[in-house]
Amino acid sequence: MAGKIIADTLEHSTAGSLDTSYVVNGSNKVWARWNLSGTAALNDSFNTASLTDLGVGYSRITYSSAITDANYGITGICGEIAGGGNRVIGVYGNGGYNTTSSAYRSNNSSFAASDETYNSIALNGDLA
Amino acid sequence: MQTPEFKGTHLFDRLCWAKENLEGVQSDYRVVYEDSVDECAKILVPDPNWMACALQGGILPPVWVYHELAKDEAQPDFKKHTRGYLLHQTEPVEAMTEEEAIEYLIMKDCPEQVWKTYNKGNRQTMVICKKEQLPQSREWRNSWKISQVAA
Repeated sequence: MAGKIIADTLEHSTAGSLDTSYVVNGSNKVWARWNLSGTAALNDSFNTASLTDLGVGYSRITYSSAITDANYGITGICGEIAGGGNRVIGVYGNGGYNTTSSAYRSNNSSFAASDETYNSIALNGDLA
Repeated sequence: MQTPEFKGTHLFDRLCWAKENLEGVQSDYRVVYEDSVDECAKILVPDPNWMACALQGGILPPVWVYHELAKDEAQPDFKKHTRGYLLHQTEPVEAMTEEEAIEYLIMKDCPEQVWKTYNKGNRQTMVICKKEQLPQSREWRNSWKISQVAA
């Protein structure tokens, strides 16, 4: 690709240096934001191929560039664009959790599966 | 915009280029499928950025690459991928039409038993439709099944 820089270390004049492997390994490899209300849809994303609406509150995200193993970490939040907070999203193992996809359950404030308008995740791990 | 020559370029780098240079494409197509008699119909929604890559061409790997990786992962002694290079070094597929992209996505992200046998049993278990054809309210969402009249 044009503009390629090959460097193992970035050095600041006063703040010290940073190994570029921190950047490569520490960057999010997948992120996605989606809406489960009405007709489910992805708002925006990176390295995501599809969203599957699995039923009320349940969804699955698949990746384009696979992760090397399934021991990756995910952070996520969900809620309502207008109104209600106090929501929570969790990994739904039965919906498919592997190197190319992960599934989620979004819960309302009573911890019942719920079609939230705002669901988002970010994934850290090593790419295959 | 012309896709750069991406032969041998890491897929993640190709996706970075696409994110920076291509507008997302919200497809109106949805894939509705049933993979369990005990569960409601599932609805596959294409990612807008992924669809932009598919329409652009020269970015996504052939779908068989994902099948090979899935085979590896299904092995009982699987620890981590050792053939990730297939994603990066296999020549990317050319530009697809939106309909071809949906077919690709079905083979990538729907269960294999669904897309191989969807019209073989006593009821059709997969349909491609426009999002306007889906119920506009999610009432009784957990009971949705594919209408055999429509299929």
